[in-house]
Amino acid sequence: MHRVEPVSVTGMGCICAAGSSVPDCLAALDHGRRAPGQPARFRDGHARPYPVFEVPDAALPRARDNDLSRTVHLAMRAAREALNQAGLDPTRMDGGRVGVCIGTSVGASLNFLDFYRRARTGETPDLQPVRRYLRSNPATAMARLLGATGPAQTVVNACSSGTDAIGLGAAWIRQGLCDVVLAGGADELSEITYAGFIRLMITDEHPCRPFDAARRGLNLGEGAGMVVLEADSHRAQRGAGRLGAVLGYGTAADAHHPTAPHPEGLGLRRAIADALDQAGLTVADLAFVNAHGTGTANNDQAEAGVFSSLLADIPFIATKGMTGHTLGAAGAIEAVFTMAHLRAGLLPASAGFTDMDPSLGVLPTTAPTPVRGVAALSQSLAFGGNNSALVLAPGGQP
Amino acid sequence: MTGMAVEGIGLVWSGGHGLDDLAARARDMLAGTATPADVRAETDSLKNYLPTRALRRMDHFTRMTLLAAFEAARDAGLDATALASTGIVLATGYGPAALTFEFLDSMIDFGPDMASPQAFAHSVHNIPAATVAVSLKLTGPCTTIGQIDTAVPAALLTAQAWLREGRVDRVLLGASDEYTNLLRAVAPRLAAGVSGTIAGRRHLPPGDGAAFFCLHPDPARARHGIVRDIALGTTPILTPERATFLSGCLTGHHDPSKNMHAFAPVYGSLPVAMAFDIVLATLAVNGRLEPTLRIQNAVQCRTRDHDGLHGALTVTRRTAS
Repeated sequence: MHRVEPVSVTGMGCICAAGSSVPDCLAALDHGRRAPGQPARFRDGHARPYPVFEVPDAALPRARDNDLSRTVHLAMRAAREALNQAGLDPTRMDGGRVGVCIGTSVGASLNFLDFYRRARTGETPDLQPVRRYLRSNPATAMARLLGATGPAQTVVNACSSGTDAIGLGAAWIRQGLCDVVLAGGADELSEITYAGFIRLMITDEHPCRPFDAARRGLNLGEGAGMVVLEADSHRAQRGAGRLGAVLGYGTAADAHHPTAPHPEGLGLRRAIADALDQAGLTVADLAFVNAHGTGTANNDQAEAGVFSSLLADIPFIATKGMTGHTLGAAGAIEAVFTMAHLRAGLLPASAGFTDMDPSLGVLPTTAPTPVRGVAALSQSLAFGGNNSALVLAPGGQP
Repeated sequence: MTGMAVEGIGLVWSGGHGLDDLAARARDMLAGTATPADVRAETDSLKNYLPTRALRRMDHFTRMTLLAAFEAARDAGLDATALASTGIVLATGYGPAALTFEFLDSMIDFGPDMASPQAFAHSVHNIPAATVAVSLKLTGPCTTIGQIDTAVPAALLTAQAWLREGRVDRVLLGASDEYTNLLRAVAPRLAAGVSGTIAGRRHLPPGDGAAFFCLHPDPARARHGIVRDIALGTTPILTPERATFLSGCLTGHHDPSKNMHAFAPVYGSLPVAMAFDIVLATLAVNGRLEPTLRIQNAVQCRTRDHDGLHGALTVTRRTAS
């Protein structure tokens, strides 16, 4: 991998069960306030209940617009926050070379259950759910709503989608395709994925406990994380500050199993190595790591092996105990948290963790932990053996 | 890097298998006699690459994807050693739709507590690309792009970005979408609700197929041609006096008298039709669509989605400007 120039981040936005803005989310993380509950928007139908991390309707009033998916509403909410922070007008994004690169999973799936149920019995149901699907591809819908004129791309790499979208968006800036890229991830809670993950038997009946000895799996969540990536020439022209930077991005396949991670995290190690190479940094430069930390047996084992060897002695945090697993949004939400925690110089405790698993031998943050360094790592592991990592810097660095 | 050399092509679709079949169907269409095959693609020859046991539970979408990927690598003459630094990008519109509906069937028929975990896990959009990585033992980056009509130019931008930043030496880029009965039933109803130029040929049966390309930055490796000038955005990209192959919402604008063709009757209504147009463009620049289409120096492939997002690229022979 070649070393590359940093790409500036000038705005960040986030909405998830922890809060409906970046400051709200950070305050919740700092205080360990988490609010898992039963799904409110669909009938559960399962013999046993499983908690989810759902965004309350009050935080998303525009979601009543039934012409667009909830995923797009979540994405737009986070996008407006990020653009406002960047000093860019979300209603006037048609003036320059603006790209949109969004990761999702549920947001691109054909999940119209009621329509399908009726169609297969020979009825001719109204096409509205299909039309909504066609109008709700996250990247192209956001480009349309914002008036963005540049490339629009939806990355569907399951749980690493948000990380990959930011990494690809940064390449668009570096290679001169765009002046500004809105990059991130978004996903909604769906009864389809809820049933699917329960049937895979990797869902915890209790609030999830990443890396904990008693962990039993993940809880699903929903949300969106967005960053505004901006060419320095464009940023300088309008006198905008820098909140952080994308220094490097790595992504690698395990090529091991269609759905399970490599037990020794081989693909993750390659992704981290590539991200650090692009950044021109080494592991010693990392202040901390934001783990993928789903709370499933396989994921946490693969990551723990990497923490205890490649990343030994570097503090790490697992935040899905606060947000649930937001699938295609997770990597982007965690990238936002990573940059925010770097700026604050402090990591909160990892919600849900209490007891170390001796078989893993690793300990996420258990109390507020001061961190200092030029960069931090945010990593994602996905179905399909996809592994992706971002090396991120606080504003003004390096 | 001014373009990406097409070293190899793998192709399977409802109308046949490989470049000769596609060329024959395209010549038929140009002569006015082609209609899309309302069937699914034949993938039996996948057993030439993998043991039957490995294929036992593999869904149709993944089988097409895998077969096209293997054939692209074989066409390029690449073995495992040559593929050591290779990335995978897969473009799709709907992803593994049949498996998605199979999971919905299992939820409806048996209830959510008895729904099929196998169908759910393998309906995730990036599993077919991951299966390519597992089967070809490719440990580089592996990304899937999901959007209607513009996934192919987006995937090409990703491949180009990876090659430019030295992330990989080569990209195996594919595009897949599949026929399902539900899409078949819905297509004409959707097309009936929009104006003719937007609807184009979307009333046609859904296509079913996969195309893969081995892409390399060295123009000397361009066995089939070079893909260059990739563009994606809301501004239409027009190159007058150049043969143009149209897909997506642009199919209604075809005009053979102006050398503007829409090959949807060859492959059906496909969200990743532009990949098939790229294959056709490589045939056109190499004179393989003659005599119905004379040899072209360059072919522009254009698509547009219903949001007004345009994708465009140009295919040339190795030596053309």
